[in-house]
Amino acid sequence: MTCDDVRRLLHPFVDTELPPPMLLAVARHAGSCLACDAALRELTELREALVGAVDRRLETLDLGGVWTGVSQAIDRHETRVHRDARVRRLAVWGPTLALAAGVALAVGLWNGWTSGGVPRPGPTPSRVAGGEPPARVAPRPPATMVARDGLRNRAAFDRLWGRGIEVKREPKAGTTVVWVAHVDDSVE
Amino acid sequence: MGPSDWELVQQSRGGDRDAFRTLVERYQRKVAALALGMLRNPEDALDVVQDTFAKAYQSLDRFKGDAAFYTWVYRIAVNLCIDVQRREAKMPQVGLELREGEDGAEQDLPAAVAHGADPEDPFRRARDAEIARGIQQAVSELTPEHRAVILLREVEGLSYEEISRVLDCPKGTVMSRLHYARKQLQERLRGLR
Amino acid sequence: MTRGDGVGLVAGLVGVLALCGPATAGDTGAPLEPEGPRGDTVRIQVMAIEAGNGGACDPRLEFLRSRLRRVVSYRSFRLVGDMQRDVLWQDTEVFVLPHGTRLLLLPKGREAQEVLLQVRLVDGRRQLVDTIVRLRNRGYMVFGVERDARADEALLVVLRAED
Repeated sequence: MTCDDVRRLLHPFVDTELPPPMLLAVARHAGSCLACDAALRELTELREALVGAVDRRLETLDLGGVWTGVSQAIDRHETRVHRDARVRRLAVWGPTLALAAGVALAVGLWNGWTSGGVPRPGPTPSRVAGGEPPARVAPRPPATMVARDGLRNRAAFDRLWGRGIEVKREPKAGTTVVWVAHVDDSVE
Repeated sequence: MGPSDWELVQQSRGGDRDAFRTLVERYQRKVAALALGMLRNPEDALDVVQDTFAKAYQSLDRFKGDAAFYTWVYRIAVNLCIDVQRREAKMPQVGLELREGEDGAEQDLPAAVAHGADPEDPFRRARDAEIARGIQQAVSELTPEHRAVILLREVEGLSYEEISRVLDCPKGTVMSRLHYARKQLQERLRGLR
Repeated sequence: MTRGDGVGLVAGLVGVLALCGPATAGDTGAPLEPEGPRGDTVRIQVMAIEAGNGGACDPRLEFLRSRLRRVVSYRSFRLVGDMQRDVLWQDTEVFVLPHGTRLLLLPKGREAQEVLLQVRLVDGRRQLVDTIVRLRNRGYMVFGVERDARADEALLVVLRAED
């Protein structure tokens, strides 16, 4: 194998993408050729430098809150899915319900009129006729005070005092904002 | 040896949140390494990690098991990183994390430097930190496509075949992009040593 | 041992000898160690930003503006102060901000990944906020102070701590 052959195969060699006989041939050549050996070492040093650079940055990253964030994103997605499904069901059954309610009211009124008494409202359907009961949706927390654990920028207060202040949290990283409303000096 | 990725995917599809959590914890570090290499901003990288798995959960029905779960997840992550980079390309910006120097590299100085744990170590560590900064800068100057290839190969250890699936491009393209990216980075590394 | 291995070994020895040479940062060109014992201080960064709805956003702050857009919805951010100091633990530092506002800060301690700070935000003689806050190490928080009753403009104070 010549140096030109080896130079063409250097990259798949370091990536172990060559068939075994060719891997061996390249390795043998590099073992006795300074220039090709140096070229191979450069590639492996590059890999080490790149992995080292990424690992350094990775050490400073706090992955502790990832699952919490993912889980909450899944919750939000499922809430949306349930709500959309409810809206679709309402779109289908809404007119039917409206008609049924109208008929019930008319019957009630008729009964009331003929019997001379106070019309009683018709029975309230506890289930959507022919369908499932409405899905239970967890109440959405207020947008300005979303307290979530595990978010990397979240600040916690041992003590907090101020006039006209409000604590807000940016939802993705939990960045905390203490907001001070304008106070009219003339009022104080 | 725990359950396989495929078993966990099946359980997750059945609504088992804990099974999906296992998958997340199994691969979050790998996805984070990829995102950190692709993006300058660690906060964006963390967002990508979370968004990757959230998206993966929502698309579990589309995962057919013909490729490894992690290559499927990498694909989602790479696409999200490219989206972030496209947004950033429209707005030059400096975030808080970058204010201390390129890539927040002052964070690279470990506590051992200050406490003098090893007399020779600070210089080696400082030199390594300088190289790391230079390499990261060089990586960030590659196009997103070249960046993805070099990171998937060098950091994540994927084969050419796996990389071509993640990036949805021919193996030949993977090899030529890899060759180009390595050449660019090698030139930078030579200048740093 | 092959010739390649021998060359590698010699190169490694030369490298080690170079590192063991006159070891000042000026000689090697490597970055200096941080001055002073790092453990006695905490690095505090304070940015003062005028937020409003007129004018363009400083490109350096676009990242922050887009991050906070769901809780602080001003269109333009303008950097008007940028300070960084290494503050001694249990010592009070004063950061002077625009419009007579001051941030008084006392780093109280560190627990796990959190830095405990006492922070007072003062406007002239009036105290706006008095808090003891646990901030994630290398994390940041924001104080926002409305400048007028219509809240058309506000002063944002971004506080970051790193131990």
